[in-house]
Amino acid sequence: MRNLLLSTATILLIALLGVVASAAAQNRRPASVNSKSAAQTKVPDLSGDWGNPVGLGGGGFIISDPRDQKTGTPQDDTPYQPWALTKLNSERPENGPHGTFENTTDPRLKYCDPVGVPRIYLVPTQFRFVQSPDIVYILYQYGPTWRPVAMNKPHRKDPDPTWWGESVGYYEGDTLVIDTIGFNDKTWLDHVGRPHSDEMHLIERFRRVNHDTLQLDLIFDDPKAYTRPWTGRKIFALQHGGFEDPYACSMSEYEHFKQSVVDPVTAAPK
Amino acid sequence: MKFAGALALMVLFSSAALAHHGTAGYDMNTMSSFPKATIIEIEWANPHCQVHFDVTNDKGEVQHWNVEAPPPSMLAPRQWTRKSLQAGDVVTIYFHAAKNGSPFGIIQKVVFPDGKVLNAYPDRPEDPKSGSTDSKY
Repeated sequence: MRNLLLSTATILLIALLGVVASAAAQNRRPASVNSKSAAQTKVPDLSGDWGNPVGLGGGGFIISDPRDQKTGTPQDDTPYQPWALTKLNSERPENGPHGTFENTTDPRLKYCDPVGVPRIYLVPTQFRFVQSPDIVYILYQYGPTWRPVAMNKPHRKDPDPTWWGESVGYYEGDTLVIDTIGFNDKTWLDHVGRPHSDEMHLIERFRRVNHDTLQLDLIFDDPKAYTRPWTGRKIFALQHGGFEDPYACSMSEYEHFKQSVVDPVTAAPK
Repeated sequence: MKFAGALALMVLFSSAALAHHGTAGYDMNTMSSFPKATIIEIEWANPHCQVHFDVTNDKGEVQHWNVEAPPPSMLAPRQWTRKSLQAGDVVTIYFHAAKNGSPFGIIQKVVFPDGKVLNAYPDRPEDPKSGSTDSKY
């Protein structure tokens, strides 16, 4: 019965998004588009629920493997600006070579803050695309939350900062390209705490390599936090079940978990 | 340790499997087990479910244990439900114990008397020697 209710809720949500998309199409004046964003008639099929390939768990990190002992050191390949490296090393993540259970500074764990992009792809939950002509919605099991990607539209001029930024997109052959700006600087890029600024310009390129495999390529362009643009990649596998069970972040549940598990596990040995 | 007997099935591996991630508090190099764990309850909640159970040693002393598990959104597609474990069920529980010696851990799987297995982390090698992907969830 629970699954039936959740499935029904998911269908209703998708139907609602369709109505929103239709309304948006009617209300929004077509903006001038550049040559890249000219509407492509053939739309690649990205349908399905996508998540971690079996065996990768919450790993398969977009950026260099945070288990790498070099993470957060000058030998780290990530082109940090000095302040960004200092900030990374001041964090107390649960993950990475110096992961700790105690007194985390992870905004996701400490406050249930939105995880943002691209970190949401590192949380081992699923996501689904809902492709409509003028907006592509990405529904995330984690949250649960969703992002709208306005298709074949330019960005607004200087959008105000938000947790998820402002995303526009277009199809380039078999690839969905998502261009996002207007982030705030409160999220971590990954589980070890790599920072970003409110000037981050993120490009996501989703391509269905085969029926069961989705590839995400990323370009991080954030001159305030990194000395040059840099890239990352993650592979997702088609999932078979589970999307209808949302993961809700709850501070009260986390506090209960902290008191009943984290605190005794991190206490000094008796 | 009072419950050394109950930990007879504990197998110590000397691998260099990574103990970090959200599992920093647990000995991910060692798979522990209790062959006769009596279920008290399962807390079906985020960020992690919790399985509470009692074990009894040779002297008849009862110790309460609590092992964390993935959240409901990840257990459900792995054939778990909040009723998978009922109070009073006697099962074998495999887990990684807390490093500090407290009666806590992170679960790997449950084996029922009829041989049925509920694996909480099928993507995590049951033999730590083969390497760990360390999925916290």
